[in-house]
Amino acid sequence: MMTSNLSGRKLLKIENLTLKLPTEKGWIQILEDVNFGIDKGEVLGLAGESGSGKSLTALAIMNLLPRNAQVSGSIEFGGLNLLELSTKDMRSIRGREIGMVFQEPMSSLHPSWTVGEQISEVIRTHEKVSRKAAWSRSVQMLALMDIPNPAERAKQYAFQFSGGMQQRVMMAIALSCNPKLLIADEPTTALDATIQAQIMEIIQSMQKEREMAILFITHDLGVLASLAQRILIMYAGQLIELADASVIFDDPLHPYTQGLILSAPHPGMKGGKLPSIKGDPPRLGRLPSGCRFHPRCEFALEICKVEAIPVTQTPDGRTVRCIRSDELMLGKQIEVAVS
Amino acid sequence: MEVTDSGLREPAMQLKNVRKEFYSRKSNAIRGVDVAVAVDDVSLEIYPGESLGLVGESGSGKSTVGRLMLRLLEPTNGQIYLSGNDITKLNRRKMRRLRGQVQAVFQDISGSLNPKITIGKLLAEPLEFHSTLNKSQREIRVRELIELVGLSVHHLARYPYELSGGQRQRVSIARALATQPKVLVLDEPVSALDVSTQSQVVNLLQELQERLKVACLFIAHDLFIVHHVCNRIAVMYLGSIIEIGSAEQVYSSPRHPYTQALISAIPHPNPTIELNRKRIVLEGEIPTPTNIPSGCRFHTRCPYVMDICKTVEPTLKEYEDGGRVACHLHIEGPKLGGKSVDSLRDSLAK
Amino acid sequence: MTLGVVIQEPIIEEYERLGGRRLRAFMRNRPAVIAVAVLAFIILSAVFASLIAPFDPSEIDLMNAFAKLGSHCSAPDCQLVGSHLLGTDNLGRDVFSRLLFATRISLFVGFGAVVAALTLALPFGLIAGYLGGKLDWLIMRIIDIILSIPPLILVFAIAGVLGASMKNAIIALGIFFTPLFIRLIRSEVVNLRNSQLVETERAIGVPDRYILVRHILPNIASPLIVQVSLSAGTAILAEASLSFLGLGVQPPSASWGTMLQNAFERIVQHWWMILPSSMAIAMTVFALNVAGDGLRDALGKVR
Repeated sequence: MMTSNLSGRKLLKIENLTLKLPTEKGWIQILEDVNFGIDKGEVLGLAGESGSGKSLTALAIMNLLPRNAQVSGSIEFGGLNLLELSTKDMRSIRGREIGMVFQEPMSSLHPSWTVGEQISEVIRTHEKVSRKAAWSRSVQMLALMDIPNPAERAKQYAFQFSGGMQQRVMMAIALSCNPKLLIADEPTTALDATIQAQIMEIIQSMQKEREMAILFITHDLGVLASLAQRILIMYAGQLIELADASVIFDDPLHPYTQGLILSAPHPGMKGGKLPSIKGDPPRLGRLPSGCRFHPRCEFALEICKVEAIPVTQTPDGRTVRCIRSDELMLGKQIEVAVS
Repeated sequence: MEVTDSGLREPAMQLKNVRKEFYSRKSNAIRGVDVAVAVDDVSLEIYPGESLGLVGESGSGKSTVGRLMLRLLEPTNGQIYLSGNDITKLNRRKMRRLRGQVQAVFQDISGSLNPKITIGKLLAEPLEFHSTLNKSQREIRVRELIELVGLSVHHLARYPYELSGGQRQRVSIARALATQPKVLVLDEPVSALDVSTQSQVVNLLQELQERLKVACLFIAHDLFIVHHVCNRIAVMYLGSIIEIGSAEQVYSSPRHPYTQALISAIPHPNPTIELNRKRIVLEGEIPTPTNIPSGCRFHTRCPYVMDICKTVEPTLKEYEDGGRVACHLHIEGPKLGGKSVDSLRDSLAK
Repeated sequence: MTLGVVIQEPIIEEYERLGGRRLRAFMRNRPAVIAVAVLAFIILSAVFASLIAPFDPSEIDLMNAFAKLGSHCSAPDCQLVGSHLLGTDNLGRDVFSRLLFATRISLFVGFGAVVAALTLALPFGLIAGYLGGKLDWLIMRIIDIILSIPPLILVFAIAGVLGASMKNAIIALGIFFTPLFIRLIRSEVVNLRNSQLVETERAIGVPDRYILVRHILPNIASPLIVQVSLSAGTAILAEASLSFLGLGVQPPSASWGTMLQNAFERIVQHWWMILPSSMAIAMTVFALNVAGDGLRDALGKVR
């Protein structure tokens, strides 16, 4: 049984994470040189579109990657490098120290076990408790997730729950052993708007109560605005900007971030064209040369098409992968667009 | 009919008291049928050149309304008028001939485009059946269409799987416009696209709609986009329209508690505004269409529920600005004790 | 920020056609490629049988009966002068030549039955799947009836009623395969019927018959092709059984089944006579199965 050592502030530290997958055409680079960390109790938002690699980053942390994937770099969690752990050790981390919630609850829940059994199983895998004790804790978890009649519903099966309720069950499972880190991969994307609001509320209250760190993965920046302390933007397998949530919306440093922020329609923008980013996200395996965003960037220079762009730190501690970030006054443009 | 300065305007498409039921075997009994009322007594009009947004969550019936308009589904009750003619009475052959006037763009999850056929042929297909153009004339028109949606003739020889999601949606839009339809039904046209591509396609739709003066029904769950693009918005809940009005009014000063909650549920991308605005989080799950609550169908989740709401279904009340809302708080107004329209207005702290 | 409608840049790289990708996926499957080569070899030898065969398959040479493999015969002892690669049978006929012509017949019956079944099944499967309702119900019940009869008995009964001949063997086997194909086609069509693709086409106003032929049929081809190639193996085995029992191809015509029957009757004394026909059957059916599996893998992989 592996227990992480959590002296020091950084709960999770990812360094130089690189991921390649084999295809018939050879290796495709999925993630390249990803570096970031999460503090204890911090909510880090990870935003990106299709092909950004955000979901695979989460799977890499949980060591749930396909067998033929080639991973390099290090994922440090409480002093242990998760990439180097044996299967057995990793299993004791998963669920107990790190919990995960996925996008499609119906596919993640066991179809022929009752909901109560599924939560109990997780508890009993990691702690030595009796069946009865585990069951009552399961019912408690369901109650915590605001599921009415938890004692009865624990005896029901996944298909008897609506989408929003299923997601609450998922969270009950993920939080049952009080993990220090919760990875939520698009947990509300498949849900209706009003249900989404409910789930977000639960996540927020759980986070405050337990001082749990959350890695919240989504394509919807709006969701991160009120939840995350810092936001990390990924594009085509690379980290392209990392900043505090309070700053990034008013003052993005990367043209892609600015594009994402502006293209989400928000009030006060009636009439006229919506700002958009031309082109499409690149298909993996056919990445552009130089800066991966250059074909879509209106500020691209010749040098952007040729040179691989490194990550730079700004004097005020922000991270961005763009050689023109200091000259472009992107924040000003947002002010103009919104007014 | 709408009264304008120039007199009465005829709607391009009109639904009158349309009802659609679906039947399925009872899940908890051996015999018997469950009746799901997907659309319950819906009446609405779309005028030429306008864009009507239809929003709602699962079970609202908005997609069903779209399919009824396209007559891909038959209404259980009610009439559907296209330019004044009742199309529910038409047989299949006559209906098929009319389809050129009512076209659709769907959400492209699994693929609306046959992967075995080239884009060029796909674009020509509607023209084959709804126009009298010969082959070379069709080819010319196809070229016009592909450029209309911002792609190049280069793409005509490609197959759908060679295009990106955004490009495929553009092709679907071009196809829908090929026959110069009077009415265009768009069912979640951008929901399956990446955020950065969504606005491209939304811009395209807006421009085309203005240019070609097509009447559009824009079905979506994203109120922000709908507000940006549409002239009017109708909000559906469990098969019924509970509020309808100008896009500006419905969005900035929604009258129905459900509409308020819906708007509140969409997170605002600006964190300062988001953290400061009033959040309305509804309790409970969305009922299923087989078990529609009595009285006002929203009463089980309504934060302002009163006794009358549980027994009597509210009818649409019209305001001076043309907006209509189905809610007892508005019908009875301040006459009822306790919560009233005034308290509703107070909660709009935007 | 970029505002307004933007012309998309043309796709820079050539995207290979789906067909090319599938072909290459198939080629990577070594056993399947070998199987196809073997089949090609067998089919070609059947096609060019008259050119390859050293002797007339029905020419009798009683003096030289049961000659061993590779034996040579010279005048005036035997009527058929020359080398008998695979020996001769009980009537002195050259086995190798018979085998070549038998290949023709067996392949013709086997493939013929499958093709006939497919042709018959397509309209019923498409209609049952697309229209549903009472017609679908009726067709499916008829199929249930046919399928409830043990296959061998069904085939024998048909052959018995119609009389034993090559043509009737094709008919009997065709009737045997048709229900299976109808079921497969119908289920594929039902899947597609509710797809976004078909809904879009209906919304456009494309008549049903065009939807069936242009949109549904090409998209159900893959599983059909796989099934056809696998069924062909079964058909060839079935033909051999029929002819073996005297209900199919009739002697003196050579088919693998009749040759097998012939050899089997004399197995005690001349056991080697079994080999040519049985090996031919085994090789062909095995190759068809391997190729069919390879097709299924190649067609399924590339989406």
